[in-house]
Amino acid sequence: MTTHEERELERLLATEETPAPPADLLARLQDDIPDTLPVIVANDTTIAPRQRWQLAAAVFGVIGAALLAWTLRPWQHVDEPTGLSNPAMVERAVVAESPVSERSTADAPQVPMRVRGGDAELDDGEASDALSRQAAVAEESAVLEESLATPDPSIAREQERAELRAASPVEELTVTSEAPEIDLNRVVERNREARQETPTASDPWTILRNMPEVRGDRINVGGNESGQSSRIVPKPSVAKPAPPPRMAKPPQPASPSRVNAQVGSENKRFADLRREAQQLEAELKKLEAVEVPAAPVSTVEAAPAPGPSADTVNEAEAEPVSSIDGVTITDMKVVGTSPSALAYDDDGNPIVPTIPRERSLAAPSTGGSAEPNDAPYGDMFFEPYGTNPFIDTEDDRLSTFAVDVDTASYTVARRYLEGGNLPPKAAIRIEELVNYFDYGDPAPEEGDFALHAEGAPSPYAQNDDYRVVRFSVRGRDVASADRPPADLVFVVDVSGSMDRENRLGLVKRALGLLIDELRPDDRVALVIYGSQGQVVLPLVHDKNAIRWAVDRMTSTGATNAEEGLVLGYDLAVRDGRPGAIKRIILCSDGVANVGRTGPESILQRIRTAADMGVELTTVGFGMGNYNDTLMEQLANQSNGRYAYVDDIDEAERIFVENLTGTLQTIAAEAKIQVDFNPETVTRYRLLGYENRDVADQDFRNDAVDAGEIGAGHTVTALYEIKVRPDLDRTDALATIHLRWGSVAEGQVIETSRTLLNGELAPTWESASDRLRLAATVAEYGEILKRSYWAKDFDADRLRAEAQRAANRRRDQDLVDFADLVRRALALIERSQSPSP
Amino acid sequence: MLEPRDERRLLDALATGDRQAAETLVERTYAQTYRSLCRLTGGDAELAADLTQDTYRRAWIAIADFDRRSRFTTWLFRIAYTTFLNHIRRPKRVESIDDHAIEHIERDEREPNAEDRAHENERDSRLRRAVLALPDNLRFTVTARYWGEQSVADIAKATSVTGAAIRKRLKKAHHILQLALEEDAA
Repeated sequence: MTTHEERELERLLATEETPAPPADLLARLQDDIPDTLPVIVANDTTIAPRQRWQLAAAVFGVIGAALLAWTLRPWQHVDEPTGLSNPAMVERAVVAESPVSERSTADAPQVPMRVRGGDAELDDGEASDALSRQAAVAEESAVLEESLATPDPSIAREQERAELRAASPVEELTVTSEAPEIDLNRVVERNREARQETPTASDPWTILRNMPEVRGDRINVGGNESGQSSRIVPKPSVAKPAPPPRMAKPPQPASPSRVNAQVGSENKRFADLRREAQQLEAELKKLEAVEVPAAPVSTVEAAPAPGPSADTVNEAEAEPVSSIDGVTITDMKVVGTSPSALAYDDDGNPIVPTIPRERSLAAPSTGGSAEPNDAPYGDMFFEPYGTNPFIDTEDDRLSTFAVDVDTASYTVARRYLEGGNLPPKAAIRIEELVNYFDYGDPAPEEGDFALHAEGAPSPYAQNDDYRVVRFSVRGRDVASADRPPADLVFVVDVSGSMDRENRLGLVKRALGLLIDELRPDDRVALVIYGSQGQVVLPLVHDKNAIRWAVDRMTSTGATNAEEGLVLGYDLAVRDGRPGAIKRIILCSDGVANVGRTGPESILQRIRTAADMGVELTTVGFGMGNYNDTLMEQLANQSNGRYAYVDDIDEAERIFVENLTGTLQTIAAEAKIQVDFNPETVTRYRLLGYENRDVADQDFRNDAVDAGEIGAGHTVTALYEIKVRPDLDRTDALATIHLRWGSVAEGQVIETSRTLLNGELAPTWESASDRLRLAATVAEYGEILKRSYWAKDFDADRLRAEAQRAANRRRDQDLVDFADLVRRALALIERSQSPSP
Repeated sequence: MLEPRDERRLLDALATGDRQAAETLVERTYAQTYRSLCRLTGGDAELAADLTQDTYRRAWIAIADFDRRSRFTTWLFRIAYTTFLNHIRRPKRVESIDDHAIEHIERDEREPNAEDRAHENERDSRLRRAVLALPDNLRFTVTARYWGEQSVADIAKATSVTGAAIRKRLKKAHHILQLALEEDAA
């Protein structure tokens, strides 16, 4: 669209002549003014300019003091090795800066402050410092009160002051983060191998390498830390032999009190691990008694026990950290090779096996293809899951998978294309592309779901026997007013990497949109994590307090995702109301340095919390060192959802337009099984859901982890099938079975629908818009994935289909989609033509 | 027109229950509200007057919730816009306006002097129909900007997004409208 056209359009829109208002209109309107006018709630804009200045000056003064406190922090840190000044200082800054608390401290000079944590106690100097600061704040508030009291006869002033006095007392904040332990004078030389073993912001892959759920492994083949080249290979089904245990080194010197505390907690942790191990052993024995699929192998990495904060974690993982009664634990990396190996290894370290989730035992659909990571952004992490092959119905007539309503892959790909690059193949998950769009399937009249099925001759088939079939599962709608109140815990990554591309700014605006949409009975808490996790705000109703807390987040330090998540989960489990939706909303670029415990422990905690009804929504931000795999896996393991926000409009889509669907889960552990009729269908191929595979026999096993569906969500599954010739209209082609745990009914329900040959459209052109759009989106995905099945695609036809969809339903998403298709095809054509 | 200074003064006075202030607020804003509704209804003067009256009735009910974070006129336009949508889609659902309702208004609006204005208005009404068929957030942005005479900054404030996001929306809307007009012309 040219500038000229645009200007012309603006002119047309703007210069519409209007008649003068009717003569009696004003009188009518003024008659309508009610006799008693409701009082408008006063807020800051009603304060007179002069007073506003005074207020501003006072607030600036307080902020200045707080900033000074911040700048002095590192210095104090060295001086006071207990390190408690850090969180306590932050809390005090919270209290000091808050305009709410300024008012209330005058009435209640006791600033409620509790400090919890291992050896957490304010020493005398700290306490007196806190008291003197409290006094300063109280003094300032007194001045403020006085200035507000200056004669100003207007009644509004009076009301305002009354309200100021009646302001609720400051929220009680609890400091739950532990004291950091940083020795600034210590320098540790670490070689390249040691660095690569450490999960850091630049190589979070080590986290995933050890997760049994992830089926791929990465081999570094060159490059440096900021731009590693790598190859992705399928993980071997047998674990590598255990690395030789590192030599134990003497424990580092530490102050006596530290050592005691450390040993205490170490012993406790050790006991915990031992108990856990014994439990697992018993469980494994039970499993063995039934039938054990050829020695499930798990690689567990339990990183060193307490002590190091994220700042020291690199060194901590390379070096031995602690001792227990003379036994030195180096690192607890142990590889179990069979259940009988369970016990303690030579060093006396407990071996903690994990029982792989059953899903991970299902045979992978295909192996991953090995491709070098040629992403235009450095350090991007995606996991390739291959592409489903055609399957003969004679071999396997059942196609079983867990539902997936994530949409992140679509936005991630969009982000690449809008930047003029093709997304990496592994970033494409076709089901997430297809499920991004609203197909307008009718909602069920009763019950949780409506099943729809349709089909048409395949537009990309080589011959007449192929059909495209679309099954959709449409969840019931829940009105915003009908959902239970929600207890949301925002867990926000404020590490240094969130500073890039103003990611944190986008997070703030996105959360701002979400806050606006919340009901008065919803509550929000805020946890941030950089080097340490920190609870900034407990669960509160007050939207202004929440907005304020969100706005003042700043990025800093390393990334201790684990601590942030743990704090968030603890808060949700401890303080969440029974019956409320309890949800963690993790906002991060996925760059994670998991802190002191291994990934298994995060996932274990997440799963336990998921069983207690706390769900996790991961929202990805940023590109450049983005970790798609971690974000997706976290959401998968936690009954959660995964979305990627590339701009504020996408945030609006998730948090405003679909908020109820995002928050209200209507079905848990939902699985789909499509049963193809071998009499009529010879082969089938499922488009997407490669990493959602469920073993056929597990469809009715409710212990198997599957997917969750939110209110109003639609899950769409596309198949390409080959049918036998000369079928009757009444021949059944396939039956879709849906099995889910109904949140409303509190029981597992199964429903099904059969697709008859006669229900298919006779030609592609006569197929429904829904089917055509879904097939077009899938083809777009297949092309981006460079799928074998789309190698001979017709670019012009695809462009035309996408444009047609945009024209048919003037939906912004579809206009965008047509644009993305054009961009993608142009990029592919350019990459295929020989460079000049 | 209502200057920000006067707006603040009048709203302060209104907060104390000053009826005179309420009357002045109406006097200063009603012409603009009426104009926006004329454009929304496609020039139906009588309907616009009725809807204006409706808008202010709702505004007096809702005034206690007005948090003054956006301009008064922007807030008022939002009410006028909702009032209009409620009128045309009653008792239909909220997301999109169906063609039937739009045609219905179009018939109404053409009745008085349909013949002589028909040709001149054709492009206008096609454009209007295209605007009303936009997705809701674009539709509000476009109507507020051009028909409600609101500045980009004021719309941004009222919808809690940035000015850049509003401009981005306008651009997207332009694109869709252009497509719609071209398609109709073809």
